[in-house]
Amino acid sequence: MKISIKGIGVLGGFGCGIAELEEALNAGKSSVSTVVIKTTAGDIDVPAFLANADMLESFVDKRNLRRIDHYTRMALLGCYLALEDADMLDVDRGHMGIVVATGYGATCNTFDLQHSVITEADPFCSPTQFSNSVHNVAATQISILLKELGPNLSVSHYDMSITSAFSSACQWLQEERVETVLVGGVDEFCKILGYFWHCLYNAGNEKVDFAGKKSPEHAIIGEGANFFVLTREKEAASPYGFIEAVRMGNFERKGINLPENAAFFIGADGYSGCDDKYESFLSEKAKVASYSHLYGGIPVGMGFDIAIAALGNKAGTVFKSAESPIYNQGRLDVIEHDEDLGSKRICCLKLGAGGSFGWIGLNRSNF
Amino acid sequence: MTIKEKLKKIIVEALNLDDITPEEIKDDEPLFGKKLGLDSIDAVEIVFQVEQHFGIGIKNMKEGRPALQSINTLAAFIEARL
Repeated sequence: MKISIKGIGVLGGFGCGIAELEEALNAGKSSVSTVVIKTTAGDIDVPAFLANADMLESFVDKRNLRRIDHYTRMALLGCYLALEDADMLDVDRGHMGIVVATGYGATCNTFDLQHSVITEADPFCSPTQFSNSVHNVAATQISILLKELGPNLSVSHYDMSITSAFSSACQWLQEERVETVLVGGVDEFCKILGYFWHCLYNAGNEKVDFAGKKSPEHAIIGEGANFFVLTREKEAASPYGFIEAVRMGNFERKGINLPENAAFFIGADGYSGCDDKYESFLSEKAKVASYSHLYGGIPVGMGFDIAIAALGNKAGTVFKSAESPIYNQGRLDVIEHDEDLGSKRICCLKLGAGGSFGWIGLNRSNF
Repeated sequence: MTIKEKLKKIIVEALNLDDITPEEIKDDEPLFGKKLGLDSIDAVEIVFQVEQHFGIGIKNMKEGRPALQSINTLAAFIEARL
């Protein structure tokens, strides 16, 4: 059974919506913000790809958003944009499932809440902060505001949350538990992550190469949301193509069976410690691309790769990659310019800690 | 800044009441009436904010119910314990 992508909603450092993502793909860059973090050793500057969720107020009354923090606002906006793209904002959405993936969860609120517990003791914690600190807050608010009563799932996993979320979404559709699924991921920047970046890559304020090999731009922390409306192919063919396969496993135990005749979108972003392993699993001269220079290092980054793959399916194009996507000794064929997609499928591949891997294969509907 | 002015500012900022300014909150109007639209979650948030900013705890419903009626009653509750 084919699973169609019917709508896409994205926001991140590149902007808001698929049009701005396409602009960033064409320009080959996104705008980097600088966040100033106060430390005991003085102020430090940390680069970050930050997302603006102000556009959410065009979908939801401001009063209904007053207890909703930036993390959940990003997720909500991703959902509304995906539904708008699918032309499903004002129609009966029927029985819809919701799956929300996250690597970090609502980090700002979680750390603020922990700080208040340490300094004030728990009888005096802010109830708003507490309710926004739990990982399933985004999925809950999406369900409440969209008035969706179908199955609702939050997936929290550092490297594989997107693959796991898509696996569940596709299974729900195949079992015909639901007619459509709103599935995607969200993660936010917080100053503790920024301080981590500073310690890992930029201590002493000297410009360092990522992992001693590549530009640190691949490891700039990102935030944002990516959401998709999925449905069964028999119900709606889509210009974005369809999801051919979702696979997860452990490459240290069983290796990886990858699809043939594919362009590979590599989820290397400088954080999983696996960025130099991709080459060993890909065949000589395999076509590869990486786009983390547009959205940053973010656990749910694979969702942006899926969005880029879907846009590529629609345009019949493989968009140009970052110049040096991964540690590459010349075996791989990096896509340096926009290329005709032809009959190729696209495989979004992510390697993670402990030998975990996940890939999601997309293909064009008319092939 | 008086206690009443500080309370109004805290309520607007902590409860994210973007569509109202502190000056628009009247001293004697009900905090949980139609105009402000606050609810029980906001009541707990106000208790937390009073503790944070004034170091005064509202320990139970018996204390909280009369104190949280309006800006006037809340300010009087705080002034009596400073």
